[in-house]
Amino acid sequence: MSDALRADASAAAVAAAVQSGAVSATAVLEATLKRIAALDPTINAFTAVAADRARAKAAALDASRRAGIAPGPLAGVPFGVKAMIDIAGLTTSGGSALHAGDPPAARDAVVVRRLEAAGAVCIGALNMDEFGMGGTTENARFGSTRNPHDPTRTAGGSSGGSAAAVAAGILPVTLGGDGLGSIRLPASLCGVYGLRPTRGTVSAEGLLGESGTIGTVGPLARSARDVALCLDALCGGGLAARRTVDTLDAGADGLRLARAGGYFAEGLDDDATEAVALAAAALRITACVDFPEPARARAAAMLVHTSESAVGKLEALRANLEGFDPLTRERFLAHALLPAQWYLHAQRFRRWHTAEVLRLLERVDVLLLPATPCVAPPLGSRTIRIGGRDLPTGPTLGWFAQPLAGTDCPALTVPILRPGKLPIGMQLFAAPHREDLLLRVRPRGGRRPGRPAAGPPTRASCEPSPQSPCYSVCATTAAHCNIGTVFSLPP
Amino acid sequence: MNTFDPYAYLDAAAAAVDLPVPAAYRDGVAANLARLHAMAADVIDFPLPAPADPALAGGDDPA
Repeated sequence: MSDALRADASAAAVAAAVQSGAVSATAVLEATLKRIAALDPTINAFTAVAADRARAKAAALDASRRAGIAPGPLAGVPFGVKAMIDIAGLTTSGGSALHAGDPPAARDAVVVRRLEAAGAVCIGALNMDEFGMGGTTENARFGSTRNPHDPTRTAGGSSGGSAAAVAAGILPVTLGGDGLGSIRLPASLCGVYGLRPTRGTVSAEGLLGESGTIGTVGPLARSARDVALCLDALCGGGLAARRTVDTLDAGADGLRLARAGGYFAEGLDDDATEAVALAAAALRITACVDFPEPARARAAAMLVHTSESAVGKLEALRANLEGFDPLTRERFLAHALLPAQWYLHAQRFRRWHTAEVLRLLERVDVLLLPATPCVAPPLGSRTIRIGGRDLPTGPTLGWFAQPLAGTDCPALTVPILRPGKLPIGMQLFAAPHREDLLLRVRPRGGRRPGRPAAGPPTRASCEPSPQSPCYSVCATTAAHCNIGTVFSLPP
Repeated sequence: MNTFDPYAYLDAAAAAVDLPVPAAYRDGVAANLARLHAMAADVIDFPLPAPADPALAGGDDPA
C-alpha cells in the first residue's frame, strides 16, 4: 500500500504523492471512505458523508493532473468540516434537529471553496454540540462523538467531530469553529493540533447563523505543517495572503517564550500539571508572566458569545422550543433574555483587555498556557473533579481557552502525548497575524513536525481498527505518525 | 447587582421580548441567568479608564 493511502498519512504526504502521480486522488478518497465505513460507527465523527460529490471532485483532479495542470498544494487531501459550514448539496444542520427540513446549501462556504481550490476534496460534515453551544459533542440528533483514544470518553467540543476524525486517522485535516475554545478544547482532549486563527483572517461567509464578534473557523490536523498548509489555503489572496508553511523550519530559536502564571497555573489536575511542566521543560521556558485579568476576560468573552449566540433564534425559541437539543434548550432561552448593558460592558472591557494583552505581547513572542485542566472525561459526565472539587464539565473544560477568546489573537493547541496515558494539549498564543510564530515552536534539537522520527516505525500497529480506533495511543506509533512529536516523552 | 433575583428578571425579560418560558425550564433558565449575572457583575464592577467604547468587531461604526 502506498504511504499516502495509510491512515497516518499527513496532508503534506498525500498532496506530494498526488502531485507526483504516485497515487491518484481517487485512490486516496476510496481509502478514506473505507476508513469512514470501518471506524465511524464507533467514533461517530460524521453527520453526513458526501461520497458522490467527493468522487466527482477527485476524478476531476486526476483528469486535470493527467492533462498537465498542477493540482495545488493540498492535492487530493480529503477533509471534512464542522456541520455549521455550508457544503453545496448537503443541508447545513448546525448539529440541530431544527434544520432537518432545510433545503441543501446552494453553494459551498468560502472556506470549503478555498481548500478545494488548493486541491483538497471535501468529504462531509462533522458532528458538534448543537449550534456550538457546548464542550462535549453530545448531541440529541446525531449522537455523541467518541474520543478515539478511549471511546467511553468525550472528544470535547464543540468541534468534537473535527478533532475525533483527525485523531482516529480518518482524515488528515478538518475544519472546526472556535468561539470560546471549540477548536482548541477538543484538539487537547483528542491529542491533535487545533488552530484558532487571528479573527477576521478566515472568511465567515457560508456559516450557519450569525458569526458574531468572537468566533472564527480554523484547521485541525496531526502536524504543524498540515495546519500551516490549511491556513495558507484558507487565507487565500489579498491582505491575508501568506506562506506560513515556508517559515516552519525557522524553529523557535530567538523567540521570546514565556509561560502564563497565576490563573493559568491553578485549577489543573495531575495530568495537566505534568503536561505543562513537560512542555515548559522541553522548550526550556523559564520566564513566567501574568496574563491580564484572566477571570474577567473569560467572563466578558462568555457574555459576548452567549448574547450573540441567541441572535436569530428568538422565533425558533417561541415556535419550536422542543426542537432544541435538551442540553442547549435552557441555555438559549437564558441567552435570549440577556440585557444589552451586560453585553455592552463586556465589549467595553474586551477592548481594554485586548490593548493590555497586546502590550504583554510586545515583550513575549509566544505564550505557553494549558489548553484544558484535565484529560477527556467520560461521556455523560456532568461534573469533573479537580483539586478535590466537583465542577461543571462544560465550563470547566473551557477554563483556560475562554480568557483568550475575546482578544482576536491566534492560539494553537499542541498535543502532548505521554505513553500509556490519555493525550492533553497546551495552548500557544501570539499577537494577531503571527500564526507563523506559533507553528515554529518546538523543542531545540527535537523532532520536527512533518518529518518521521528516526528508528524503525511500527507500521502494523499504526492502522486503526474498530477495536482500536486511534493509532496514536502508543509512543512508537505516535513518533512515526508524527502526532505529538513536539512534546512526546521517550518510551 | 447584589440583589439580583433571576426569576423576577426572567419573568420581566421574557415578557419584554414575548418569549414564553415553560414552567419545566424556569429553574434551568434562572440558573443560567444567575451564573451570567455573576460574570456581568464582575465585569461591570471593574474600573476601566474612560472613555472606552464597545469593541465591536470589524471596526467601530462612526454612525
